[in-house]
Amino acid sequence: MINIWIPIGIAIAIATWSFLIKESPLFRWAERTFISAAIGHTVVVGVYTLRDRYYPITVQGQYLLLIPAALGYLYLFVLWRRGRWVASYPIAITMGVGLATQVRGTIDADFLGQTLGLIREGGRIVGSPPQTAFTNALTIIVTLFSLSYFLFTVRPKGAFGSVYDGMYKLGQYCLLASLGAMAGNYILGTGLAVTMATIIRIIFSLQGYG
Amino acid sequence: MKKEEGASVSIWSKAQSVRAEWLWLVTLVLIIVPLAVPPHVPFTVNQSTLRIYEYVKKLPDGSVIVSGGSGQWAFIYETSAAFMAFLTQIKNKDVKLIIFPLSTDSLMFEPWAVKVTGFDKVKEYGKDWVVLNYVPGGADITLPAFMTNIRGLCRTDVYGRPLDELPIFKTVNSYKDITLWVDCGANSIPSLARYVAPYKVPILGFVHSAYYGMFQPYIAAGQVYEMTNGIRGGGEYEKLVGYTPWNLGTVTMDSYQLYSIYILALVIIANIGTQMLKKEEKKQ
Repeated sequence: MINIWIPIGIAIAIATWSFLIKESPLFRWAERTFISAAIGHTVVVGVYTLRDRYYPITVQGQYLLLIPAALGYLYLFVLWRRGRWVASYPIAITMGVGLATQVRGTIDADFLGQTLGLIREGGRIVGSPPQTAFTNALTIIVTLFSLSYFLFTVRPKGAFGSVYDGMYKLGQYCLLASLGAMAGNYILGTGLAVTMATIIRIIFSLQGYG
Repeated sequence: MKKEEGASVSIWSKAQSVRAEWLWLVTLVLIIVPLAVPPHVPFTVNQSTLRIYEYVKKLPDGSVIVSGGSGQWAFIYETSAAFMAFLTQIKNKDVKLIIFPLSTDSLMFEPWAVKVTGFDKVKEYGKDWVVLNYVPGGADITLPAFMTNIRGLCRTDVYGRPLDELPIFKTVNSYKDITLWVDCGANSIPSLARYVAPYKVPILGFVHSAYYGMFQPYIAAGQVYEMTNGIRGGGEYEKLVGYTPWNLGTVTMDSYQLYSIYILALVIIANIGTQMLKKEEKKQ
């Protein structure tokens, strides 16, 4: 029995790619089908989520949870111009909680964790295989140079000033190289991966895989 | 002499006006041809993939693995090749798997991978593996809550069954009961390093190659145990476990290598071209 979703999927993929030639009704059909399917999926997931969130209230009798539920409903006031201020309360609470957890996690993992990691890498330069030692040394040098670029408050003068200027310039190049690699990686890496995924999906579907 | 200079100018200028569509068409050909006629170029197994394989091999009986990330269909072949090899490796081991989706997409993606590898055929749902429902709010909110009280955060599984009724959750409720965390999402590693690593739960990542380099500092800092590198890492993992139902990494490896060379060649040509044009502009 033919799985009807396979030809539909292939047709949508080809219709999307038709944009490479020019915008056409075929592309617009694929675009709108995708958007409506995505919205439909989000709505279904939302309904399932609501069901789960209400479970402790309706089945387990945890009525205290009615407070966050009511706060959630206050969000809907955003649709009413005169009552929009009411929605600012749940938004403020959500943002506060979100920022608090995020700041804690970021300081711990990104700031302290990465600094400790760098120190550890420094400790591994001596006695490591040449490749590891070189990579670790390069990481430390590049980090220090890049950080020197962000030194705004105090600018060293005199003999150390010229050394600092050199570090500043190299830091600028390191940052540019890193940004270039990141952009290239992201655009080419993700773009090609998605292209390849679509082609293989079509080929696999034609071969009968689900 | 003047004629020759004029000819070289026109080559680099012409190269600039090549339409991007033609370059993409060549990419398509380079992807499709090796898939149709695979040359099976040999490849070696990277130390990172080997470390993951060895780590999973040594997992003790009764281990509880959480697959928590934002697996996406768009990056299916970058991340799922290694994830499916991982599922193939653990499916005959005495381990339990909890799927905790961090995006609405992974709600479908991870169960799909479980189905394709036949993990669901050898393991019993509810006892050996389970799919939790997606919890909105983002990883920054849900992960800290998940680590301290799973039943408090996720009241039911994806099918609406209360967690109290599922045998797997009789012994599992917080980070203390989790042996390993795996991520088949393209970019969930920073969130995991922030909210899972502090609880000393080892993390393995099956990450997209575009992020593999970016996430290396997390390994250096000891926040993530190891990661596989996109399709290539997937192919390597498949080589180690023998065979996975789709062998995604292996079948796509030739295309991957070929178009990588093509992109590298384009980057080199574009850089030379820019320098040549600058030179010519100066001369004029």
